[in-house]
Amino acid sequence: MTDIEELFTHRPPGLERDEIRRRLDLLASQPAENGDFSVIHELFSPDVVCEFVGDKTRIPYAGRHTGIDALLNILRAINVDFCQSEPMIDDVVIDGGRVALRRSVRWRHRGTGLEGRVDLADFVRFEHGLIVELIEFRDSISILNIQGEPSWP
Amino acid sequence: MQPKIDAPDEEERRKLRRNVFEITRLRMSGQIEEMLRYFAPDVIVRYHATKEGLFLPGVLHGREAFRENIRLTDVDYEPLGSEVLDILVDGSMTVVRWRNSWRHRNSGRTATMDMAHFLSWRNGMVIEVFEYLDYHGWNPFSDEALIERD
Repeated sequence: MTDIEELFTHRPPGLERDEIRRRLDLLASQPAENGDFSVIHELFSPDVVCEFVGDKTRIPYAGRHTGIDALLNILRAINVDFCQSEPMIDDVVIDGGRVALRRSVRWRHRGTGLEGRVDLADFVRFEHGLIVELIEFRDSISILNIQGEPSWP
Repeated sequence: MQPKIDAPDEEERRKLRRNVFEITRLRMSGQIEEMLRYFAPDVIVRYHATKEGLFLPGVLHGREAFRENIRLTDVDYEPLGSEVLDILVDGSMTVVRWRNSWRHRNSGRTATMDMAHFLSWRNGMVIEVFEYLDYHGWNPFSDEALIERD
C-alpha cells in the first residue's frame, strides 16, 4: 500500500551541491559531437517525466512524456534535424534537489543551413542521485525561424 | 550544533518565496503599482524565449519602462487566472515557474502560457529579471489548459 506521506514528500537528491553542478554541466553539453547520448542513462531515472513547454500543433515533441526511452527518442529526433554546438550556462539555481538552469546553445538546421543562438531554461529534479523530472522552456520562435517555418501563425 | 529550523537563513528564504508568490498574484490581479514596489527603480528586465507575439522582445532598463510595457500588454490583453507551479530560492536568486491565461480584448481569443521568471534580489528588491515563456497554442485544443479568473 502506498504511504500517502511518501506520495507528497520529495525524496532526497542524494547528491552534494558540487556533484549536482557537475551533472548539470554534463547535461548542458548534450549531445556529444558524435551524437552519443549514453550519458543520459547515467543522469536520468528510467521513469523520468519530461515536459517540453510549447504549442503541440507546432512543436512535435511539446508536452509531457514519461520514461527515458521517450526522452532519448526526442533528443535523437532533434539531433537528426539540428546540429547543436557552443553550449553555455548562464545561471544555476539549486534549491535542495530542485534546480533551475538558464542556458543557450547554437542550433543549425541540417536542412536549411540556417542557424542561431537559442535560449533555454530547464527545471530539473534530482531524487536518489538521478533526474526524475525535466521541464524545458526553449525559444520556439527562434527554432521555427531556423527550420524555415513562419514564426507566428 | 544543529542549526535551528527557523535560522535566519531559512526565514529569509521563506520571505523571498512569499514575495515571489505575491508578485505573481499582484500581476494577474492588475495591482501593478503594488507589484512594482518589489522592483528596484533601475531594474533590468531581459525577455528570452518567444520573441514576438503577446509580449515585447528585448531588454528594458528601469521600473518606468517595465511599467509601460505592462500597461501596453494590458491594453490588448486581459489577465485571467494563474497557478504557481514551483518556486526555488538559492541565495539572492529566486525562480518561479507558473502558468497564466489571457484574453485578447478585441478578438476574445484566449491563450495560456507557461512562464519562468528568474529574479535577482538585493536589499529586498528585484534588480534583474530574466523572463522565459511559451504558449500552449492559439487553438481550441489548448483551451484545456485555460485558467479562469478566481
